[in-house]
Amino acid sequence: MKPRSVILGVVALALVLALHEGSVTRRGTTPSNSQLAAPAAAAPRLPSGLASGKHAAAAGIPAAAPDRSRFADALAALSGTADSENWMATLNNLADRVPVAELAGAVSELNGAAVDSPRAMLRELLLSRWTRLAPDAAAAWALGLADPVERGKALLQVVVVWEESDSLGAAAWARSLSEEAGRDDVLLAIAHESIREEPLRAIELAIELPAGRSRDELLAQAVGNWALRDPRRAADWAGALPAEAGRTRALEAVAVNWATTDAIAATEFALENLAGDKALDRAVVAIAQRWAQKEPISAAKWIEGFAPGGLQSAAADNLVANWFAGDPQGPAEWLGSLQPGALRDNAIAGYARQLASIDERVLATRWLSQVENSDLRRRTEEIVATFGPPHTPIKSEPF
Amino acid sequence: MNPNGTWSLYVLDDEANDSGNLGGGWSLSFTYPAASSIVQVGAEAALPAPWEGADVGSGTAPANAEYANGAFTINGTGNISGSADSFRFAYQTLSGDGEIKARIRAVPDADGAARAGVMIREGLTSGSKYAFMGIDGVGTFWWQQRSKTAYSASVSSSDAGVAPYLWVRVVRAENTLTGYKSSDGVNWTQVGSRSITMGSSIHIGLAVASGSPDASNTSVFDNITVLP
Repeated sequence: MKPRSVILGVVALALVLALHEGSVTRRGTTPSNSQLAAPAAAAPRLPSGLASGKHAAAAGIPAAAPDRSRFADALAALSGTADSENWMATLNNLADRVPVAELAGAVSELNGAAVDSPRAMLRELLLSRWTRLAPDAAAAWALGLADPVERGKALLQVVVVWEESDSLGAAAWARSLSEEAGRDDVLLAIAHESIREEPLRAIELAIELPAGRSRDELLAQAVGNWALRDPRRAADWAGALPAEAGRTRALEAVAVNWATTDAIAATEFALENLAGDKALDRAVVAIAQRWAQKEPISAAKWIEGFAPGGLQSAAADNLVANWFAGDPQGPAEWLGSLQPGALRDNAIAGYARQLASIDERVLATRWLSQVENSDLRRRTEEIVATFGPPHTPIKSEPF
Repeated sequence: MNPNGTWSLYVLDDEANDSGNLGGGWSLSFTYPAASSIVQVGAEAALPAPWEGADVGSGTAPANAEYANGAFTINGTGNISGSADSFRFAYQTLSGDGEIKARIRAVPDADGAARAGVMIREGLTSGSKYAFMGIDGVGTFWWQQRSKTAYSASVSSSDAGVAPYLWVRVVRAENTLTGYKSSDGVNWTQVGSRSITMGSSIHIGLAVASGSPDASNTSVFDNITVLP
């Protein structure tokens, strides 16, 4: 065969492999191609193509010398800087050029790379690509890694990609793992990945996990995301949780996220379900933040009814910050309507900080002159002084 | 069993004389599980609502967060790097779009790999997606983000700032996360931006790491504004 024919033959092979890869990716199924099977993790064996350098040369990657990586030169050029964002174009290019049949060998070849190194990031790109094509093989390879830390990381990287195209398959495989192999961590990762699109599925998976803080956090986040879409059903579900299964955190998550669509309903729910708990304070301030973004005057009236103290101060501060973000002049009239006292002082201090953040320090200082609490006034004046370069003209007067 | 703290190894000499040696030497093997993504949450009674505190990942030195007179003092260990982080996080819930900005009063008195800054993070597990804008132990600004769970973060640095003029900010607008720095809290310079698909209800807060699992970094934040 003439040299030109050899090149054309290799290009044709690459096209066939690329088309195969594309069809597999679109279907989201696992190919039965034995070329994608994992090499033995403990003693990775370089594929024959790599040993001869045939595929590497065809892909534009130098053939590997017996004692060095085929990626060595390209990676060495990257490691002169710690700014890994600059590496990504090169690494993606390298990863895309590895022939499909050699993905398994290339991942193994780069195993054990230092954290944050170009080698480690290239291996992740290759592992991700391999997982999209052959998740079973990639998962088996990860499971066979001897080092428990490396194995744990690789397993999570595999299932996160697997879950994107086949959540049920990834979960079924995770359930087949032993506890020692990290089943719970893998299921936890799959469940967290499910929250974005399928919070109910995440909840189903969470129920399979052992009780504990991680599961409680997972449940709270899942039900919180559910509450953004369907707060009443999420509220009913969270209310039915046993206390020891993280019910309070779940109820809090519902209340906070419900407030983005209906602050009044969220408030009633929080007061009814979180009474006497620290979670109630957090929920109340979180509701005030969200309410202030949509109906600040109503939120302000609500906060006026709180008993003086830390909760009212926190709520007022967050009210003013969120009100100010949408309407910098907005809080002024409300502040002027308040009776002297802690609420008025704290709210004015919060307003002064926000004014300073847009370089209205002189105006901020004038507002602060209305604060009766001298200690608060002095501290806030110091804060205001930390903002901004030269003073700018004042546009309005307090009161 | 809690592995933290001081361990002691005792050797019993049951021979008559108080001298001699251990023939062939001795060794001690430790078997430990893979790095866990379990969340550890400490008591954070001092934080005002709606803030909470959590140890993301597994550090070994004590970590906590306190609040007084408008400032958060956060003591963190570990690293915000690689495919799994460990650090101290004072956070609140972010529903949809939002932002956080804060001033860091001083450069961390810690390793160059230390970090102190603001973060928007999908979950409290160690490999969760995030966007972070902060400084290291020499005052260099860093924009860092992890766009795929359990995969390495990518990072980019920006010129060093001078304490106390170290302002940082992260904004989420739909799937776009953007990091800013400032020397005055008024004028902001974009350092990086990235599209990261996260859930709708996530976390936003202050993150502190020491650059080492067994050292600590205490950083103080003030002028904090959260729009959740």
